[in-house]
Amino acid sequence: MSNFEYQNGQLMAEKCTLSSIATTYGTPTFVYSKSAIEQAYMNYANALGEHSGMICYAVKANSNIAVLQVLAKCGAGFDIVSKGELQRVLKAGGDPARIIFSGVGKTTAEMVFAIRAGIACFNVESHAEIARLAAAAATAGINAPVSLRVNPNVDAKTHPYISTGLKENKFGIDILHALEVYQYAKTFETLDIVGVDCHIGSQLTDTTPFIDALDKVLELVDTLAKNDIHLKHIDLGGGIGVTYKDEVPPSISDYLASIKTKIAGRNLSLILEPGRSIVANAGVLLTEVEYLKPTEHKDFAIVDAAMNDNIRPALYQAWQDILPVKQNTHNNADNNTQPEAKNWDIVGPVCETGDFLGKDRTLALQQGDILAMMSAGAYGFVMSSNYNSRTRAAEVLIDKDKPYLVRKRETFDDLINGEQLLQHI
Amino acid sequence: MRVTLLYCLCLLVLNGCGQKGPLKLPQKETLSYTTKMSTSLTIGVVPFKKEENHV
Repeated sequence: MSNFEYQNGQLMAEKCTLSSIATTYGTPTFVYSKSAIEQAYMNYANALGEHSGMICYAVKANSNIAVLQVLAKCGAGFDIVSKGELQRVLKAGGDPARIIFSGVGKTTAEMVFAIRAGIACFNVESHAEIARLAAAAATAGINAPVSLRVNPNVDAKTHPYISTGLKENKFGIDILHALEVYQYAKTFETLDIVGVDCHIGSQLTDTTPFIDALDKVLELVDTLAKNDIHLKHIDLGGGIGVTYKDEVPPSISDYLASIKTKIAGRNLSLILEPGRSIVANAGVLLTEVEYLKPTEHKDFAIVDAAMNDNIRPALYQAWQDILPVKQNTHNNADNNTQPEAKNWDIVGPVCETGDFLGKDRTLALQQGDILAMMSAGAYGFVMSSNYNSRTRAAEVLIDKDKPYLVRKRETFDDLINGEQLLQHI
Repeated sequence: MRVTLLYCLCLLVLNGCGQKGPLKLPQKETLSYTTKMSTSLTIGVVPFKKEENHV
């Protein structure tokens, strides 16, 4: 069941009408459902069950500290890729011992900070990073727990660019060379080798590639054991897809059951790093129709949200549903008729031809209507910008019948914060 | 040597070396410029697209 459904013609977020949220907080505004976030996390946690391991939410998908707080309260671990994300998790009450630090470009300062914070593990991606982490651990005076991210070279059955498990990208260490890299890591007294990590892609709707990758990783685990390198965990990363339009994502419980069957009897903890599948469908973006602009070739609805608020359509040509927050409630003063449903391109005010939120959407629109861009909880606000000097949107978290402003709308002062006029002219 | 110098001089004269007045672009080059402009404008309206992958 979705946490965003129509009741009596009103699109709801839990027990709040989205129209009332728009009235109270203005637009554009991201709205998240606390319950939806909790349910999505618990799908993973329940599927993991009694098996040793952690579900580490990928903070990059949505890093609002209130969202992180909700997940921390659920007992989630966190997958971070920067010091900033680590600080957010700590601020939100996350347990450092349940944090995994991923990413190809960690700085020494980030490493030292994370080691001193007591994080669970570093996912390391290169020889050079191993040496740097060993030195950082020596500086911190604390050994660093290490997992190597290996590239199992599994075709994720999606577009080649989506398959991070393939050899042609910057991520991971070729699994064929993993043994020698582990042996290199073992030469450093300040590193504790604890695991292996892989991540084969994003928005995947078939679990077969994950299981293929797991088979290769388990072969590596056995090879390492024969070479006296004994791992405590395997981390299969994230990448489980969600329904934006008509995609059919795999069942989380079936996915976890397949993994647990494969690793049964191995005394290996299991770590997963879901992001999108926790928050994507737990959020919407509210926007108001500013103008209707029918033309000879296209009919445009110009709204007050834009590519700077949600860049996924412009950047990836991603499809997200766009719905009115009120159904059939127009009142035409002249004849009390509803506007005719037409195909509209929903576009923003940004001065870019690529600034659109949706194309060819059949909607009965009037100026002033409030629309909800669905599935906006992941890679929405976190990828927003101030392009065209637009202030970034507000964020509201709904808990049952109560809305909470978890990030206020930016102001002009926020916009120029840190900028300086020249004093000598 | 004299024959070579004479030959070069003839070529310069035939090609209008030292010609006064506005420089005339050959027709072919003008067409080439137009083509470039057209291509540039086309690129300007093609939306930038990148595959989505958050790792």
